[in-house]
Amino acid sequence: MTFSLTNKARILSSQNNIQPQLVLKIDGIPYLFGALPVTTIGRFDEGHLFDEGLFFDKPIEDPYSRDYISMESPTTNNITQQILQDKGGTSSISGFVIKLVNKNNELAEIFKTGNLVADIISRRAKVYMGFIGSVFPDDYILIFSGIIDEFDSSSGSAVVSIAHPDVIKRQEFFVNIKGNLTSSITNVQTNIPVNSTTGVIAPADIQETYIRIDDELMKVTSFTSNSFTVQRGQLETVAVTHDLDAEFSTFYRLQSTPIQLALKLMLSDGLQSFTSSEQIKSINYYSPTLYVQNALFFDDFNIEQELGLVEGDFIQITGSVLPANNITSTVLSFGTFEGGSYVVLADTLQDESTTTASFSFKSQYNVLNEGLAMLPEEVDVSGHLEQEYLFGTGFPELDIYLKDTINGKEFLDKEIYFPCGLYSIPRKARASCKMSAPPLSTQKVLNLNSETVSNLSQLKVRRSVHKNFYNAIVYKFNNYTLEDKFLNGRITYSSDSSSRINFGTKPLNIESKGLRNTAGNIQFIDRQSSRFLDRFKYATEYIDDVKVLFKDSFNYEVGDIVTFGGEDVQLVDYATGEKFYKKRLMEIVNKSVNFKTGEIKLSLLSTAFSLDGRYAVISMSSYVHTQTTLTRLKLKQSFYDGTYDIERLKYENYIGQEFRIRNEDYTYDQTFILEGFDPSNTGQIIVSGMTVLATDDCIIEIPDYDDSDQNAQVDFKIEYAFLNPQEEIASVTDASNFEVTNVSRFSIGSIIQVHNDDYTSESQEVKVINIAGNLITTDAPLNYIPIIGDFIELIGFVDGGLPYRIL
Amino acid sequence: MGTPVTSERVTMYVEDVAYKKSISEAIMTKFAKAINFIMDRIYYNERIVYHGYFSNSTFDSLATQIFIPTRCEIAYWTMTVMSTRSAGNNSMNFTVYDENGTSLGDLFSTAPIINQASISRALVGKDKDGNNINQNTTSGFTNGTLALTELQANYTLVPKITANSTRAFGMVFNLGLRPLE
Repeated sequence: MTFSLTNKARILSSQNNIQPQLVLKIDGIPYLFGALPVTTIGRFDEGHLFDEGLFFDKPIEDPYSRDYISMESPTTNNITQQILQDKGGTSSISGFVIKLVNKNNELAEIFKTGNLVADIISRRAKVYMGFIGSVFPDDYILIFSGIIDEFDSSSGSAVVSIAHPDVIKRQEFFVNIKGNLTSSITNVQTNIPVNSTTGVIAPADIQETYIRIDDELMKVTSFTSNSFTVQRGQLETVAVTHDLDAEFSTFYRLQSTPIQLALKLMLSDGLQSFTSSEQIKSINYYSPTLYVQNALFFDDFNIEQELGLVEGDFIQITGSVLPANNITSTVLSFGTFEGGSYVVLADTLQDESTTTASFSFKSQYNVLNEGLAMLPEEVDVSGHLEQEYLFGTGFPELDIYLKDTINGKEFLDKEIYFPCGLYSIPRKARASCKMSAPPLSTQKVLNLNSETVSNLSQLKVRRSVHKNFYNAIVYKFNNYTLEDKFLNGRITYSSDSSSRINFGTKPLNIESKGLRNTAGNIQFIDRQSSRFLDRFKYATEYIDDVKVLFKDSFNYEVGDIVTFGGEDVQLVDYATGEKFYKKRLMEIVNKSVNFKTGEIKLSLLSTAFSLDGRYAVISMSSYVHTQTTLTRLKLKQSFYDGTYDIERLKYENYIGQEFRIRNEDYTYDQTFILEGFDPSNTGQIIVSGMTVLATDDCIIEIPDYDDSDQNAQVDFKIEYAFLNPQEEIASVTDASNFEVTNVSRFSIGSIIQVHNDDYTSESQEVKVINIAGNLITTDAPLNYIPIIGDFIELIGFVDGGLPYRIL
Repeated sequence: MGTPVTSERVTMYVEDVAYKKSISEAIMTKFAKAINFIMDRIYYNERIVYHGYFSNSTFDSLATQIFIPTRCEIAYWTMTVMSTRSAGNNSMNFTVYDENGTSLGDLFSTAPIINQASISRALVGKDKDGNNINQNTTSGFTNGTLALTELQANYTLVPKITANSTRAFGMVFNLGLRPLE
């Protein structure tokens, strides 16, 4: 998910001489430290005088701005992120260092222990990046967030070191507690006397607590300081007698889907406590033109972005003079306006045009009695939920036994993300995750070509059996209750890979303690193994050291999808035999940004390399207003898309492309070329080629698939889905030979699959090896004898385009 | 909570679904409109009719009990009295029995009531959008409030006249049930 940019940030980032600006904001300290003065928007109610030389709609230097950041060493000037997909994690910088110049000895006063904050060490801090002229915080992006773990000062400067949230994830939790019985117990006794239960974690939500004594597991239902109440002989163990002084140790069980588990483990603090935050500006009422029922309003503060809250989280209001407003409620939605934001709550609030109230918040995932105590602003909750939304029904139910103390990051990466096909990534300076799946352009896609890459002639397309190559997936799962061994295994081997790349077996080993031996999990393992093989079985192509322009790519991160290639990219394409590298979707797997030089380097991975299908998303479309001139189309805000607050931004990447415009029943149906955006009207696009004026509510869409030329509509074909052809069987010779109704849609090499009307008969996928008249011959007999009228799928397109498949 | 796509009766064209058509926001929205239109209108109507004078002692409720085949919610209801004759409450409710025949109480916490002398074809109830329905009655009526909005499969509803004015006759009760599974 790329960072959203304001229009101003977009314009500033597009200038030729970019001057990046860093801003450091420390929790509890009002000052904004910048490499240059930090500018913001002046407001009437902030006490500015008009004889100060202020102008309407002009940024002013923030009164708390302190341009103390020195870009010289040891200030971090390079950030690198790298995805390690085949290990379930990411390597990225573990810290960010900023050197501050001590002007007028002011730092001593700001950071003095107990002055503004109790102690600078352990404060949460954020680093933002913008450009000279950017308004803070609107036009900035968050590049690093963490906790100050080191503070060095000298007479002339201070150095602040901020540790990445991953450092928090690396802490140990669910610490294994041991103790002893204070008397012997029978095999039916449920009250277990012990010397101490200190440190034992009570069960909550998805977590159960057990104790192990000898080879018996007992489920803890409650405990005091020196005894447990238990259910005996749990998890297939047998209740037996135990001796005085026998040792007990804790044993925890976590059961849920991977996204829910990850969020609850990261966001739980053990106390389900609220975190204090900002002063509220007003309630329900902001201005005569802005009234939202049950809303809290904030100035200069985007509550959703800054705090990382999502719908369903909890807000607690205190300090209001209206007692009815001092409540705890649930977040329903968020909104923004110029210079501020608001959050809408589920409960009724009374109007306060100004208020003394402040609020605190709690994540809805803060439900466990043990966790990493990360704040929502350190976790990309919405990014996790997006993966659950996209792949949720396909995720397995994990059932993990914790027999020993665990390390947060290692556990999340190896036991939760990786076995489920996910890998952790930093997104928007937060802990996030992504699915190992073919690339999907779910966000605006950056086009990398001769215009946006500065070192095209030096690039190499590489493939290696030592990198990004596996031809077998080995799952070991169903961890035994009492010992650390796996009871089941499943190997998926790609014979296609080994017959093409003769390199022996190179397995990707995945060990999962949480996957149990259920039919659903076996299905998941098979499906995920196929996804891994799709990604790695042919030693997928990768390109390192792609130098891209700062303005184009500074808001893209590892895990984002870009297009690379085109007729102007003179790299030999060994997949097609063409002299240019055919445009395709690729994933950013490595990114390095230098703040001083503005240089950005990317590594790209072709995650759909040699696949026999395409994965794409729904294409954009818009309603238009009644057209008055053939060269302009005014777009309506159409359908739902939270990404685009200005409708025409949907089309930003496609200037020069042909679009279709039609009415509901296709009696009006034309095409036009998108020439550009009307600078005088943000709702209008400039078009050419139209001959008849469009009426109100005509629909703009991308045109039908052009199968006359595989190089036509390349951007649309790789990003967006079209309806695949479906054909019927006209006559049957045998399971390998049958006639079809429309043979012109088939070509030798096509993958096809045959099924009857209700899918009670469904063939495997086979390849067309011969076409004679209407007779198709396949490379292997179908696994059933088809009959006339059965359907043929996955034919693909006659330009050689692969069929669109369901992920 | 998301924003429901507004249901609309739309016509699908061959061009919408033909080979090579782009799968666009417009087409997906059109499908969504059509699906929501159909879903909004999937309900079945259970009708209880009592001809002639009615009272709680003359009404054979067991003979007209309603069986619930699938989990459903109450979409709407109407109660009609053909002629009230005199003033006094006219009302019908239903006893809800679970799959084991155990009573769960009444379907309505406040049953619909018509209480107005000498009116014909008086009708009260609520439509599928929760709006009150009133016809031919200007006072002395209650539209009714549900105690249970959702009924499980294999429940039964047994109707009962809970009040009748003297010589009132002709009771019709319509209950709209929207399947949930």
